[in-house]
Amino acid sequence: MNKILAATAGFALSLFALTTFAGEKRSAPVVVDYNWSFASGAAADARSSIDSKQYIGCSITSTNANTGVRCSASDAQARQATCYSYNPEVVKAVQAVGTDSWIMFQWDAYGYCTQVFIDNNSLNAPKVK
Amino acid sequence: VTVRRLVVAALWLSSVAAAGFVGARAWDGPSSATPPAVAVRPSCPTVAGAPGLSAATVRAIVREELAALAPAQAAPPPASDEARGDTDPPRPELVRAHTLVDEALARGRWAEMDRDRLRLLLGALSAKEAEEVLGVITPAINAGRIQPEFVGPLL
Repeated sequence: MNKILAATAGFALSLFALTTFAGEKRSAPVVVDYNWSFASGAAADARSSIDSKQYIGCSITSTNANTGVRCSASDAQARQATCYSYNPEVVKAVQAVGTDSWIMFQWDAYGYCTQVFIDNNSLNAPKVK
Repeated sequence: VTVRRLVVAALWLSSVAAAGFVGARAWDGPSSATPPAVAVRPSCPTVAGAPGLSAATVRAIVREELAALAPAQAAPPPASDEARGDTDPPRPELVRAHTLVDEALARGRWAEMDRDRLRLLLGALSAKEAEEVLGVITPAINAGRIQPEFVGPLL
């Protein structure tokens, strides 16, 4: 009887410990909003989503003539959006994108990226294969 | 006095050039040809043979001489946008990029092949020219006027 009690207490303690040290997390699926002209989401969440539609990310291209970025995203309904920029400040921001980043980008009527927001945060899920 | 200063500066430049020559050759490995003896840079603050001039003075003279040469050498190459006048015909890559986008818009479909070809063409364009092309295709995608046939980076 004592053994059962001890085992139960131990199990409860480990659950408590796991909860205590789990840390805050968030799940951020990809959102594409044409009304507000923005897309956002966490790269890792898009990667591990059960649909085969979601993705979000940015690319940097550099040639002798120019250096620019392009960001693209698709939500679970396969609504896709994209923007581009040759603004050095935006290029600099996109260099911070990693596999665990939460990304938001906004575009104007010309498809130009008016804002790129990169959040590298412990809240974000890590990328899994 | 000026002539003397220039002679000393020339001597100093020669020794610097000789030191640079030896340093660059060090990467080539040992050579059978023995380079001429190189004067070791004196730790003494005065210049050998010219006790009235300090090393600092010689450095200042050399800097002055180099500064006088600098403007002719430091002119940056013109940016591609600036180099091209408004009357110049558009470069072939720009024409091809516009054609590619126009054809895709006419089809109403944006294929992965279109994206990849556009990427290649954009690489040859200046930022201004690339913006000209991307400013057509990007709003069309975002407004749904053209449907991507694939899931992945669109541009």
